[in-house]
Amino acid sequence: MAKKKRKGVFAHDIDRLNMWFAIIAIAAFTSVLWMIWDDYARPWKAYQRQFQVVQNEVTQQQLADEQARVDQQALSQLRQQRDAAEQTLSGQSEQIGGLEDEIAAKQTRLDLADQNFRFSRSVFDTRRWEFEEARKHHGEEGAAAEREALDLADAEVEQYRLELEALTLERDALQTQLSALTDARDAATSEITGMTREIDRLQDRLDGLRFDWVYYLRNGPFMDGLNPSERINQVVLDDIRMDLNFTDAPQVDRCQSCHLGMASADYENYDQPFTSHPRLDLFVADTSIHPAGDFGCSVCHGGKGHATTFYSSVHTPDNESEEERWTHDLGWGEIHLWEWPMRTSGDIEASCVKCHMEDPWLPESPKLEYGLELVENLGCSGCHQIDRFDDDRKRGPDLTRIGAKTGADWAYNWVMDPKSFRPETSMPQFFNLANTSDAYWTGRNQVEAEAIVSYLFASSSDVELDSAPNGDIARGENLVESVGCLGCHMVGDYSPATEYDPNTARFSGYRHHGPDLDGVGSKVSADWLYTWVKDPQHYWAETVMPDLRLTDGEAADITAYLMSLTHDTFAAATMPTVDASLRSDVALEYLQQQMPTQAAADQLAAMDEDATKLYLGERLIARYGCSGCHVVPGFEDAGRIGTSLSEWGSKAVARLDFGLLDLPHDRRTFLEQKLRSPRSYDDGRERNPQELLRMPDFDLTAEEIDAIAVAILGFTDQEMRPAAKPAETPRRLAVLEGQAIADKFNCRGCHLLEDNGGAIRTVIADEMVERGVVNNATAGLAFGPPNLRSQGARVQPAWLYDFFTEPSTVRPWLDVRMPTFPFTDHELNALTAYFAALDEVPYPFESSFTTAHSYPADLVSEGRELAADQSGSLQCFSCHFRGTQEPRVPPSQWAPDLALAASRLRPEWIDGWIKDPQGLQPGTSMPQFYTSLEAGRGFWGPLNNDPQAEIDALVAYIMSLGN
Amino acid sequence: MHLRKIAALALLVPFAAACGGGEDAPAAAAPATAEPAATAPDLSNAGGVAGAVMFAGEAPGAEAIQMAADPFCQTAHSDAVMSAPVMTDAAGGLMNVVVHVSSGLENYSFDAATDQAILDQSGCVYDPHVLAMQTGQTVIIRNSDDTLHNVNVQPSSNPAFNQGQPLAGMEIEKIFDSAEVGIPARCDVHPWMGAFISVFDHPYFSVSATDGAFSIAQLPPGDYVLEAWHETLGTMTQSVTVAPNETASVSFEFGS
Ligand SMILES: [Cu+2]
Repeated sequence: MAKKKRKGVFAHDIDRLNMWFAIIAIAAFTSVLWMIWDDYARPWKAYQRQFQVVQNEVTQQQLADEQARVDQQALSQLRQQRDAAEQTLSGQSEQIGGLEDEIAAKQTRLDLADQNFRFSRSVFDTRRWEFEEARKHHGEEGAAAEREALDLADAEVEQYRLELEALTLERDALQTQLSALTDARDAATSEITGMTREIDRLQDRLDGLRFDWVYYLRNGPFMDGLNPSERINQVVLDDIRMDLNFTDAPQVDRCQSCHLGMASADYENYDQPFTSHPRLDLFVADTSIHPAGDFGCSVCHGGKGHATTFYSSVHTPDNESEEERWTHDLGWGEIHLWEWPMRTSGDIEASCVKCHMEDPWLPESPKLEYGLELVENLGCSGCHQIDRFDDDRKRGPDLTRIGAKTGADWAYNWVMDPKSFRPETSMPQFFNLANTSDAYWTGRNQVEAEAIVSYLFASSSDVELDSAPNGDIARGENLVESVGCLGCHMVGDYSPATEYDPNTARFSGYRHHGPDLDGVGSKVSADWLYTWVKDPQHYWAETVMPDLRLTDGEAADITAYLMSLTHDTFAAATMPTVDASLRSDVALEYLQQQMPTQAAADQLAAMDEDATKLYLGERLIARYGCSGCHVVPGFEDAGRIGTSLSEWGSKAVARLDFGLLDLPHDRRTFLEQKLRSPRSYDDGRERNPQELLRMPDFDLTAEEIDAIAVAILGFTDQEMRPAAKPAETPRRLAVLEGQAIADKFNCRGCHLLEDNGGAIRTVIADEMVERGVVNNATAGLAFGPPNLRSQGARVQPAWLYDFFTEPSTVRPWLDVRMPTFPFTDHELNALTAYFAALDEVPYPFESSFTTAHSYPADLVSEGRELAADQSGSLQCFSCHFRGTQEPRVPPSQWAPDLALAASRLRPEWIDGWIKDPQGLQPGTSMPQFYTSLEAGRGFWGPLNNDPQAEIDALVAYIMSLGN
Repeated sequence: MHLRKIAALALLVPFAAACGGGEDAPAAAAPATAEPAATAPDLSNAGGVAGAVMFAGEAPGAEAIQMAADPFCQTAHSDAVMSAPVMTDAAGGLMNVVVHVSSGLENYSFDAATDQAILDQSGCVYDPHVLAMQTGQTVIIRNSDDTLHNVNVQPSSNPAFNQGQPLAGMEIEKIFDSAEVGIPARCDVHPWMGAFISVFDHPYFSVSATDGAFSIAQLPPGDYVLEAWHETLGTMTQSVTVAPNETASVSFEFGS
């Protein structure tokens, strides 16, 4: 067809214009469609569709399981019963129909009668009021008319009541007739429903999981009004805030838009993003203490919680292979601008610090707990500000009287290389490290160590020492291995040298609380040791070493034994003669820091050799920060020399100096390198001695570094609102304080406390086997210190307080003894309160029953008979001490002195203990006598075999003992 | 809801009994009744295993138990009670070894035994010293002595208990729900008193007699692993094939 030529004159070629318009219109329309599609096709929707398939699979499986679980045979039998009953009923349909009609008719009449009855009652009430009013105002006579009306109303009520009664009876009779016919069917039906309820529920759920046209319609583009099933799942967390620089806003987490199975254990076998959270007992699940609805995800995991794509939510791969896979499959890339990328699973525990900074024990985050212990026990806070450990005592010993304890030769070699004397010491290495190992520094290290030691010994003050009498080495060893030293120290047969407990963490293990004692004979003087073990606070007032109340003889024996443990190479080592001119050079270098060059030279010239050493020693102690861990005379007010670590976990990576090392720039890498080789950031750099890095080397293992890194990464500036943190209840505060004190004095070195610790118990058990007291280690455990589970519920706080102040003997057969600790009054109260808080029992304790006078004498005497050592009685003293009277069973079965009960135990605890000893202390040798409290299940005729009466009598008797 | 299910199951019990009633009851010690499910073993051509457990080498001598701590125990015996970690007869037969099928029964299921096992405390010793029983079976722990005993049982996969029995004739009943070999039981009042309880989820076990003899009957034909457990000597295992209607012969030899 020929092209039609338009008539007239136009400024443009209209056809061409039309064509352009058409193109533009099509392009615009396409881009609108594309926009709509792009807006509609969100990645999370694809995950939700996939998840529906997964859900379907899981539900199908559950359905199949449930069907297999339900007894199909029983079910089909019930169905047969029901069908048979229905069959019968169908033959009686006329009768049933008739009955039903009759019942309906009756019910109608009944409803009417009921209505009339109620109406008549209200009329009666009105009449009665009218009558009462009339009588009040006009007397009985004047109210005659009202009385008549009232009687009439009363009669009417009675009439309707009778009618109602009769009708109810008639209807019920009919109902009974009907039920008699349908009972069989109804019973079977309800039983079937009961059996198949779960199946029906799962079936309903499956019905809701279908991809049918309704699904596609609801979830189509523009169908937002139809309540689409694919939608962003989010939680808005008012108490957890998102930092927006000058303000904050509630944190919004949308992670569950893709992580759809995280809150249910059903998906543990599925891959991400659907997999169940691995610790639903603690997190995410509504029943846990950190439900996702209150805490969200990003508060622990980091990342951008409100993002809805994999890329933008700032995931962090755990390892290289994951990184590769993510980059390839999911378009992962690093986002540098988001300050808090997600934590890797290895670092996740660092987030616990946000809210649990105050918790001394964190058994559910073991790596963090270990890391915090290391940070604390290695004395990191001696040089670095760390808020959590601000109030800690110095980790190392007090050096103000060092001259009385050891000699300068020993001290020099110790400072030079501590681990050569004590391989597991927490004293780090300061000399001969990466930046101080060349020929110049080898000489200079000697100068520096000699100067430090000279200063310490020159400023040491005197202390009066008792002179050690001769002791017996073997007896001393016996004592050390049994009185309790080994709860805190490693020595002899039970030391790292013998690899006695190879799993004991060297810087945080309970038995590493005090120094390892191997070789100590080459370190200290016998007089010092003798004085020290007899009264540790005499030498060092702030020590946590307790007083074991040793007799002079025992102290002498222990001294003899420990002095026999020598370290031969160390005993022989002396202080070398150092290069005097090098010493002068170094002193000059330090003087020049403080004064002009000429003045420095003059000053140096004015100092003799000793003065130079002292001057240099003082300056070096300041430089290396020795006073961070030790009390050093002249450094009482010295500050910390290191960087603050309180908020190190949020320090900008750009501010970390990686030196010339070719390392990935992130916080963890920096930390690991710093901890592995503290001076290595000086590698390849040209520095003068004053500029060199000075952090000492703790010689840490990869595992230790990992744990420390997690702890330090957790020290951030992210503030949590109190509402998001654990509530500071009096109980929690008391427990935290108690735990901190228990850590300070290493209670868990000896005792099981909150089911952890008791390190010495296995040592004692093995020792008892070795001594032939028992034939196996399990029996030997009976000779260890007691488990303190439910201690608060068990004893009276007043007794506990007194016991802490001045321990008394509860278990006379134990060699191990409760030492006297240098607790402050505050600590004593806090510890007593801690045990009460732990068991949630009243504190301070008040009870009406603390003396025998409160118990009726006949109850006490029944109890005495019942407990007596005779056949037919409970024979309590087979195992229990009674004052000094020894039980007849062998020592491994001995049990505490019941004569102490009156002042020691809570009577209600004795009651509970008799009823269920295993429940209170699993594995205890105390048998349960009363398995039931039913009348007649007791043992004692005079009390009618009534268990509770017998237990009351036992409690009364036990509480009366010793009075 | 739960009760109703139980009621429904209860309804089925006579039904199940009717199904299984036609067959002979297997192993006399612990008859397993066929379940309605298809997992009960077919015993129509059942065989068995029998043999002896021997001890090679010099058995340590028995020692008299010192019972003086409790006068009752002391007077309960005219002769001293002898005890040894390894009890053998003159020919080397090793007693108190629990021989049981440890694998090969995975496709079967068994009902709880209906008879009761008994652990007696008589004359201040446990009788028997080694007890084997089935899961779900009731064991009666009896004190036949006129003195205090406690039975302290600390299993690893069953609930622990420690019960005092101060009166003669007292009995307690216990049921173990999980299979576990060699659960130690002890009396804390009389430290020499010890017993071992082994619990199995099937009826195929036997405790070797004074001459070391054991036998396991009514075992469906098939390949099995037999395990022999002794309280101080540990365990030994052996594979065995049971042919229809035949009793396979197996012997174990423990070394010192
Ligand atoms: Cu006993």
